[in-house]
Formats: sequence, C-alpha cells, structure tokens
Amino acid sequence: MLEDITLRVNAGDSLAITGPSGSGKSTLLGLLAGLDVPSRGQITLMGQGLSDASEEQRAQLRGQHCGFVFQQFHLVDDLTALENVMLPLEILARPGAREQAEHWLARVGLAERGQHFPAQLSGGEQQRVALARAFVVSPALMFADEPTGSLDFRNGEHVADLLFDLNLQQQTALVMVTHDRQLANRCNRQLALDAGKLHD
Amino acid sequence: MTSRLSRAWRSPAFRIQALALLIAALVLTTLLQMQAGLEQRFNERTATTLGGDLVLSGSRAPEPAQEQKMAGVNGATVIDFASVLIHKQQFLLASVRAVSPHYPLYGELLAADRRLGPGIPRARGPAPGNIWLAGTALDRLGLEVGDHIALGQRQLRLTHVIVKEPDQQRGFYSMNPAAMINLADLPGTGVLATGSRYRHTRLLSGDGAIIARLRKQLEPGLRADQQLRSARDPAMQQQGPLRQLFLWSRLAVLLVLMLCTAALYLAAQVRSRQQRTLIAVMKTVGASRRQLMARLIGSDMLPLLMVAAVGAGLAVLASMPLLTMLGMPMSSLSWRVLAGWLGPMLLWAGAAMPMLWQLWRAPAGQLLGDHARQSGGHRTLTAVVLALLLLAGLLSGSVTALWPLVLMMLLAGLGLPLLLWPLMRLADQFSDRLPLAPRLGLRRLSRRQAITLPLLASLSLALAVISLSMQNGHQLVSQWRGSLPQQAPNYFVINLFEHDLPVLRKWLHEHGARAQPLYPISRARLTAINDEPVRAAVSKESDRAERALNRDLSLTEAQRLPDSNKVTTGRWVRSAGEVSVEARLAESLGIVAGDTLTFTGSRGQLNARVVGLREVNWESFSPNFYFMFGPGSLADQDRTWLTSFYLPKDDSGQLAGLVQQMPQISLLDVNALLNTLQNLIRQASQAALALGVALLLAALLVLLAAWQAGHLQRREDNRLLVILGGQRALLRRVSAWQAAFLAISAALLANLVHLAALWPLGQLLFDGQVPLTLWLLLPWALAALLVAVAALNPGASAPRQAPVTQ
Repeated sequence: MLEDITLRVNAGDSLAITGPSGSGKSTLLGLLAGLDVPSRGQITLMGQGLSDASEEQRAQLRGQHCGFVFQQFHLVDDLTALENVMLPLEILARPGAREQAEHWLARVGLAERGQHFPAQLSGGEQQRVALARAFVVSPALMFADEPTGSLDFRNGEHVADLLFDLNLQQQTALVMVTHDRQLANRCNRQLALDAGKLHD
Repeated sequence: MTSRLSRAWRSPAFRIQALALLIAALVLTTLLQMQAGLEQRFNERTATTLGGDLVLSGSRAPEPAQEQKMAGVNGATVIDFASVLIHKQQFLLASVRAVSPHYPLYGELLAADRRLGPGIPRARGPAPGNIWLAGTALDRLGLEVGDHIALGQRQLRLTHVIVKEPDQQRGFYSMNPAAMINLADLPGTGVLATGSRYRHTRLLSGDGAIIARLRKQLEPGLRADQQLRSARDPAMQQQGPLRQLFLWSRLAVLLVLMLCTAALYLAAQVRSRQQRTLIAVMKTVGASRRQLMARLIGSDMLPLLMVAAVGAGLAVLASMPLLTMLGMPMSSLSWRVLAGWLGPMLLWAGAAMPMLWQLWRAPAGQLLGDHARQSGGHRTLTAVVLALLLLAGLLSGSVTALWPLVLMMLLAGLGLPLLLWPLMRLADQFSDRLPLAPRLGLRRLSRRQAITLPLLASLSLALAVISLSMQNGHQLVSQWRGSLPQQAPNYFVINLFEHDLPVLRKWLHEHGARAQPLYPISRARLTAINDEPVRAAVSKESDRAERALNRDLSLTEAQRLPDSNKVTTGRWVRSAGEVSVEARLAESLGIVAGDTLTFTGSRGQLNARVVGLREVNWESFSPNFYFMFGPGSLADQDRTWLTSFYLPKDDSGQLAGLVQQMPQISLLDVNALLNTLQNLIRQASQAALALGVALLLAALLVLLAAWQAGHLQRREDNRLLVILGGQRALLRRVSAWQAAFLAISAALLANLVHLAALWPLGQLLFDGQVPLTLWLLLPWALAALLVAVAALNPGASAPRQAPVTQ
C-alpha cells in the first residue's frame, strides 16, 4: 500500500500529509507511531528501530515520545477531564501527574472543567482535553489525524491555534494528516500521498 | 432467512444474543421434557402406591348409583379381609386379598414359582381356583407350590409365592402373612357374610379429566364409611426422592428462566448499543419509521427465531438418550417444545424491545450525540421482569410453593446490587490514591452504572444459582443414598421367641449377615390418653388416628434412638415408664410431650409418660415403630422379637436352613421392593445431576454473556491505553482488577442470596434441614477463576489499527 517512503521530521517542525481518502494516510500514521509494523523497510523513532521492536517495546517508545490527537477525540468516557490528562503520565509512572495535568488543562483553558466527564463537555472542549493529554508527556513527536475534522469552524480554529502554539513552544515534531487545505497550509512542510507514494 | 442470519451473524453483538438464545432454548426445552417425564413418573408412582388414579374404599361394596357412575372407567376391585387358611389340620390367620381380573392397574405384581425363588412380574392376580401366598405362610404351614389349601369352604391350589404387591396398602410387613385369590372364588368360600369385617376397594385409572369428573360425581354421595382418594391429592403424594426431585425440577425451570433472562438482557444491551449508530444513520438519510422497524425487528427477530428453533431441536434430540438413561418416559413433542422454542424469544422480546423502541423513537441527533447514555433502563427492566413472570407462570403451573423462593431470589438479585452501589461509589471517591491499575479497574465499574448494575445482578444470580444447585443436588443425593445404603436390610424376621434369639444371632454371625438391633414386640391397644378414654380424648379422627385406634399396635422398647429416627420434640426415652411417639401420629391423636398414655395388652394395662416425639423415615428399611418405650417397660408383657438384616441376594438359598431351625418365624423378603427403591434412587440421582448440569449451563451462559458484553467495551478501553503507551502487563492488571472488583462483589452478593434462599429451599425440599456448607465458597472460587481469565485475556493488546482509522 505504501512504497518507497522516506521521511524525516525534526523537532519544532510541522508536517502535513494530505491526500485523497484511501491513499494510505492513516496507515502511514499508524506505521510512524508504531501501531503497526511495515511488511518491508525500516522506521526509526528517536534512533530506535520500530520494525524489529516487540509490541511492548513499541508501546513503551510510543508512550515516552509520542502524543496523539484524533478526529473523534477518543477520551476515556468514565474518567474526568483531569483524569484523562493524567492517564499517560500515570502509564509512564511519572511523578506529579495531577499537578502537571492541572497545569496542562489550564494551558488549554479548561482549568475549571477538570472534574467534568467527556459527555459533559462540548466537542471543542473535548478536543482541547485531548490536546492537553497529548502534550502532557512532553512528546518529541505529535501525531494528529484530522484534529479539527469533528469541530465547527470557530472551535476548529481555536483548537488549531492551540495545537500550533503548543507545538512551537514544546518544540515537538508535528505530523498531521488532514484534508483541510487551510490547516495544511499552517504547517512548515506539506507532502501529498498518492498511490502509496509521497510527493512534495 | 439464511441470508439474514449470515448477515446478522457477522456482528459480534448479534452472535452473543444468538448464543444466549440457543443455549436458553436448548436448556429450557431439555428441562421441560425432563420435567414432563418426571411428572409422569411421579404421578405413576403415587398412583402405584395408591393402587389407582382414584380409589374408592369402604366397609362394604359401593352403592348401585355409585357403580353406575363408575361404569365404563377402567378399574379393578380388591376386597381385603382376615381369614384362616387350613392345611392338614394346621391353621394360619392370613391377610387375604381377593382381586378382580384387571388387578393391578399400576405397578408390578411379582410372584415366584417357588419359595425363595426369583419374583417374576405378573400381569394379573391368581386365576380362579388358585391361591398365591406370601413365603411366610408356606413356612408356617409347611406348604409347597402345587399343594391345596382350604379357605372357608373352598379348596384352592397354591400356584405362586407372592414376592411384592405393587401398592403399599397392606404395609410391607403386616403381621399376618399375605394371601391372594381371584375375586370370583370369594362367594364360594363363604367367609364373608353380612356384618363381616372387610374392606372393599375400587381402583380406577384414567386421564386427568375423566378422573376429576368422576371424583366430582362421587364425592357428594359418599357414605360415612367410604373414602375417596386421588393420586393428585397432596396428602397422597409421599415425601421421598421423586417428590423432592419433582419439586426441584420445577424450581430448576424457574431458575433457568431467570438466568436465561439475565443472559438475554445483557446480550440485548450490547446489541442495542451497536444498533444505535445504524439507526441514527438510517434516520439521518431519511428512512421511514416502518423501514426502521422492519430493520430493527427483521434483522434480529427472524434470525433469532431460527436460532431458537435449532436450540429446541437439539434439545429434543438430546432428551431422547437422556430420558432413556434416567428411566423416564418420553413425552410426545407437545407444547413443551413450543415453549422451549418461543419462551426464550419472549424473554428476548422483553429485554430487547424496550431498547429498540427507544432507538425507534429517539431523534437521530440524540442517538448520534449521546453515546454514553443507556436507553429505557426502567422500561426494559419492567418489561423483562414481566416477560419472566409471565413465562414462569405459564411453565410452572400450580406450584405456588415455589414463588416465595423465586421472588425472594429475584428481589435479592436485583435489589442487592442497588444496595451495593453506594459502596462502590464511595470506594470510587476514595480511590484517588490507589495505584493506576486498581483505580482504572474500579472506575470502569463505578462510573458505568447502566452497564455495571445489570452485570452485577446477573453475575450474582448466576453464582448464587450455581452454589445453591450444587448444595441442593449434593444434599438430595446424599440424603437419598443415606436413607437407603447399599447394604440396606433386605430380610425381616418377625415372630421370634426369646429362646430363638441365640440361634438367630449364631446364624447371622455364621453367614456374615449385617443385622439391625433386635426389638421386642408387645401387642396392645391404646385405650386412654391422660386417663381419659381414647375415643373421648380424640375428637377429630384422621385416617392415621383411626388406624391406630382400631387395631393392636406393635409396641417396642429400645436403649438407643434408631438411625432412621430423629427426635423433634422433647427427648429420647431413658428408663422404664417413658415412651416416645411418632410425631405425625401424635399430632393426629393430639398427643404432646408430658401426656400419659395407657395401653391394654394381653397382660393388662401399661402406662407410660410421653417424653418426646420422633420423626421417622418409613422408607429406611429398618424396623420402625409408632411407640418406643424406655428399656424395661415391656418386661412384664408377652412379647416376641423382630429384626431385619442384610444378606447378599446370592446367599438367599441359606435362608431355608434358618426357617427349618425356627419354623414359627415369619421371614419377609423385601429384595424386590428394595431393588425398586434403589433403582429409583439411582435414577433420581442421575436426574438430579442432569438438573444440576442444566442449571450450570444456564449459569455459565450468563457468565459468558457477561464476559462477552464486557469484552467489546474492554477492547475499546484497552485500545486507547495501548495508544497512550500502556503495555500488556498494565492491561492485564487493569482487567484483573476490574474483574476482581466485579467478581468479589458478585460472590459476596451470591452468598447473601444463597443464605437468604436456604430457608425457603429447606422448607420446600428438606423439611427445614439445610445446613451451611462449604458450597458457599464456590462463588469465590469462580470469582477467582474469572479474575484469572481476565488477567490472562485482557482483551485487545496492541491494536492492528490506530483508532484514527475506525
């Protein structure tokens, strides 16, 4: 499905991958994040090969170095906003999870909504919680799949602003899959995926 | 239809529903078939004991008007009386029974071709001109088969030796040897004339409707001396393995229904969650309500009907060998198969329809936007409970006795989780400091009330039913086996004199026969209670009291309480002048502890104070007595001795030697009766096992449905954890903790339900005797197993696809 793809993303970079539906954007994102393994070729994350790593090693690498923002938010329904943000830190057993989570909720403007459950938040608020959850581990790489795809224009703008601001401040390498031309234009680089190949 | 099924089958949620329905139909149909077989067997046995489905007895023949009403109904006539048999100048008082050609209507009449020969089933009693005698009569008169004997003015030829009569109206060890003649010979004997004492009994058989109608017609015109008894009378239905098994099978049907309801409720809940998006999308694209309804019902109901039919069909196939193995008749494929097929569908409808109704009515936006909310919880619960009650009412018939137990279990099963819920919420409040795995495990339960409560209720009920059915089945089987051990006495010796005792003891020792204690027997009548003549003291005579008052009673004394007896009131006798009375007789005579009883025997009066009442297991095959006195009480009375012993059947030839040494004794062979009961107990034990397996299957179905219902949710939960870097060990720990919180709560509730059910269960099946046993630990063992399974199979490790692609 994907062929001859070589990709290098540096800290502070933002890369948009665009392409028609079925072109393999999400598959590429899954491979880059170590959620799947390529049938051929190598993927290296922070100097470590993902292709030969075990499932456990890939999970560990992902937890330590990657953040995710999804179109459907994917918050845990039965955890509060604060607990959702704490979750990745707790998985990594990092100390001060609560304080850091509170800090990040405040940074996305939801300090007062920490004890609310996802169902009690609007779509825009849920995506902001998802942003806080993605950035709280200080990831080196941030993967985003249509991060504004489920939001109205105003909320979409707000979330996009936050994403790019935080990416810059945290010096994260952002890899974003999107159909949205405007959103793609805000990235440093853009690549188009077509018939399994990347084009500038 | 097949294409609908194959399309629906692709959905995991449908597969859970289908599996639940398949097993529900399979178990329910099997159980209903088994229950029908048991019911038939039970009624047959009661009818056998009674001699017919309806029995009219009196001290003379029925009136012509009564005869007219009974004409055309299959029946037989039996006349019982005492008379003297004469052979070569020897006389013997015998209990004679004259029987008409259709006797016996039910059961087996066994007669041997020679003394101590094997009993062979006979379709009819003696032909005219012949007489059959119990073995003891042959011993006492020195008769052999082929000899002639006089009864009144008739000479009759001895052709067979009675081994076993099918009905137990005479009691299996009457003091007088039994004799049987053809009714046609009775007038010729001249022994009965106007004023003679005899019992005229008309045995009738027929289907329920005929018997009920006849009974209604006969009842108004009964004479004072007449009694009408039916196999359907509760008083006629004896305690014993079959009755217990019969009640247990009815209870099992209700419990299986309850478990299937729980499983179907859980499965329908999962399916409804899945249908939500589909219906929302259909509404969005403009589907009409009719199209929606067709889709909602058609996509599930028709394929499920097919699945339930397969379950019921498999059950029919499985019932055949099962019923054959259990020695039960196979009932015709009737409404029971229909009930086994459509019953689970009704339960499914009760569980699924309110949820589907909610989906049908809700606006698309609500369905799309509100994923977490469960629809129509109260309505669904009400509908499913109503469906369960309706079906239970239809299938359980008239067993009102079972309702308290089932309602109690239902209320406890549904109510206790509600009581536990605040505790779970409280634990949630204080769980912030818990490590991540137990905290997540707890919150997956404590924050999903709509999912957790039904799950908890279903699991608790399933675990409670498993532990109760195990304890109950085990207790039933051990009670039956205990009442009739492998080496239960198979011979009774009566009419032993004092000087025979050393001879008998020596003989028993030489032949390795296991004997019960020797009991002295004195014959006497009960004449006064608290110095008041007994006729005046006993105002309301029951049949039992009547029998006790109108004949000589066998009194005995003993040092030790027999194993087959249990003191229910007061204490056991200690010294002379004290007596212990059988509890049911005492009740019918109005005797209580502290009363003084006066008996009149051959040596005058005998007084004793009642120190206690006893419950007697009359089917124990040990000698049992209504009145047992303290040691030394009967020393001044005329007395003979009685005992029973076990001798392997192959050694029965040795008994001839015993009879030769003591020709006056009566030796009763109860092997045939014993075999019948042992077979009955063996089959009843197997049936109890089969019932246990059916209940276990239904309970496992609930566990499976609960597991599957949670599985889809767990997969979603775990997938996100994996994306965020969670490793397999964490998934295992979270799943194990989640299962632990759930299973421990369920085991705790199951224990409470079990304890609450013990009392009504004990009243129903065990006369209140249900002890606390280690079976209470079973839910905890199963809980541990669930936790282990959850830890080993947490559901979805690393996803093959990122959630972004879903």
